[in-house]
Amino acid sequence: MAMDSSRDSISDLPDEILGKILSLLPTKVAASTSVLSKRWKNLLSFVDTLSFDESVVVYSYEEETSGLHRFSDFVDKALALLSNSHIKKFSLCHSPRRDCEETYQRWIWTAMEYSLLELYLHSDRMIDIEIELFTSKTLVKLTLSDGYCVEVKNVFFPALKSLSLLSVLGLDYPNYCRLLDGCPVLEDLVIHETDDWSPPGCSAVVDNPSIKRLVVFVNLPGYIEHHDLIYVEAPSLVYLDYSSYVLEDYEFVDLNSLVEVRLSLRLWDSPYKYDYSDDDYHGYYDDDERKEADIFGDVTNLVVSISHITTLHLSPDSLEAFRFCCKSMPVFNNLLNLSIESSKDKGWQVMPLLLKSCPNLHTLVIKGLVHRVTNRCGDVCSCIPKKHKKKKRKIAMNKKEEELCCLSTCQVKVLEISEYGGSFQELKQMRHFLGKLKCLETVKVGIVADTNNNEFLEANLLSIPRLSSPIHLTFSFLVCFFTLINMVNMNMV
Amino acid sequence: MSSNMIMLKSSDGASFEIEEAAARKSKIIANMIEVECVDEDKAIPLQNVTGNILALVIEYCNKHIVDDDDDVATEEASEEEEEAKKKKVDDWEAEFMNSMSLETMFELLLAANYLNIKSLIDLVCQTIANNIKDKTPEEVRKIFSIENDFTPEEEEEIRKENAWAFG
Repeated sequence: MAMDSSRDSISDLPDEILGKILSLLPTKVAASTSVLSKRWKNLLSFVDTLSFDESVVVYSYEEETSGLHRFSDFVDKALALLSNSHIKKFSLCHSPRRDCEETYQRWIWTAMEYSLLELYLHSDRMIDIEIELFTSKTLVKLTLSDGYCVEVKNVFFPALKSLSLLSVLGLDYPNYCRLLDGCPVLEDLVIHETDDWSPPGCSAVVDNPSIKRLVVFVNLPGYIEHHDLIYVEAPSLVYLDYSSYVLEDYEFVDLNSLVEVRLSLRLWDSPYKYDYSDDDYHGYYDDDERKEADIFGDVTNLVVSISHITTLHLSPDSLEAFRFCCKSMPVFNNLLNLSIESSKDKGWQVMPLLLKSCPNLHTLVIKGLVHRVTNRCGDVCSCIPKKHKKKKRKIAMNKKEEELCCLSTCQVKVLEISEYGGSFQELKQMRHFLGKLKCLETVKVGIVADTNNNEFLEANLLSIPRLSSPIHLTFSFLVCFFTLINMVNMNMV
Repeated sequence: MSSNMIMLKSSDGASFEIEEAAARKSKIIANMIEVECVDEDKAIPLQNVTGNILALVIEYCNKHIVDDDDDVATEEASEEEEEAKKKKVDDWEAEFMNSMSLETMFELLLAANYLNIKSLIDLVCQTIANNIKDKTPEEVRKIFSIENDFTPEEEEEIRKENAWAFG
């Protein structure tokens, strides 16, 4: 692009278009264009988005009071200037002062009067905003973040679709309930609790008839004693994304509409501590059963309540939570898509049981093909047990089970591997999958972008003997993707 | 897929053939198709758009209609593939915007505004906004050849009025 324009043609653009361009900028920058020329002096009144971020200006200690004044003054003026009868978004990130609550209340009110669609409030200090009647006919998206604690008597947002509560300090249960109850058509609810100043609050109970998507992200490692129960009752819920340390119990009620779940369940302790099966000195089952009982958390009820879904995503930690904190695995009769993320620090011990529990699985997606080698990965993977001799006893005992590899009964038709790095272990794993999965029709492999020997990896993969042959192979590159397609699956015919 | 072709005619008399699906990216043209039953033999006259700008508009519409089709064809595309695809579109858009002068960009913006192609308006506005962001007023004036017609006193007054904005 030619950087310099030869004549001032930008100033010929109509007010509305220049307003649109300024709306894409932080309001501070948009306002500073008023000094460009007379044409630009009053354009701020045409913006449809106001976005104030006080943190971009750092005041010196002496300047703090006057600085806060200048900021207040600036917001007041910008709000007064607006010529649009409706603004799309009002976003306010600031360091509020205690004695100015009325000012902030007024800003929020004024913004709401412009038929606001989106309101974002963030403060880096705790502030209580008391609002008698928190309402807007037009508001679609509301985000409260960090210190922005509202105390509301009455809430009514008849159009609000999306509510995000991002680590709102001090938002108590009654106010949280009033907020939720005031949003009759709410569809998206996001709750983050990551501030180590307070134990989990809002995330403990979600009871709402209309929400379709729920994202709960809790990361409070300092509050193990508060991780006792989560209660979710959401008959319209379709999508759940849940991330937290494991709780003692889960009560999920009325999730009949649920289709897709994404779980990231973190154990409080590393399983190295109690999984003695990998330890050379403790090979006895009684021993590790006893130790496993000590693990904090129980996801059994969680897993049962989502067993009717069709799509499940599991983080590496969740695989271990399923292994160590789940007393019984239900059958996922409807599950068609399972995607797991893998990591070299986390084991795959639960994989055989999980695959057996998904009788109708169609697509298996694995991000990263490495996992922690353990003696009890079972037959999903090809890793060599460390203590082969000691294991022999077990093998003899379970010989029947051993012969029937869980992959052989698996119905998976599509296997997608992403972040394939091409190590020896990964190649072996691919050979294992392609050799054992009988119903496989399509294999897609996404190679780690920085490997420059893609062709070599590709050739390696193609040379793997497949159970289903003869086969027709096609390659299609999409950035770093290629696909092996078995067009004819002779073994199955 | 049956693709109806329609004709568009620029203000300087150049004719362009475009798939109906692509042309529908413009709300104005979509309305014309709905209401007036566009005559297949007759070109739609676009009085406010010159040929070279219309060619860019059509290039943009064609590119984006193909992408929409892809979405339908591969419903089961994985997240990574979606991301890769999105990146491809983003790269194309960046390259597309990079290839034109500021003058052309403003004309394209006016044309997109007239034809009411929302995604194209957003793209051009964002590109222009990126040119203003992180620049001092002096730099912005230079880039867009904006002549400062304030007296130093007037300019000082504006800076004082909005002190926080210039902090």
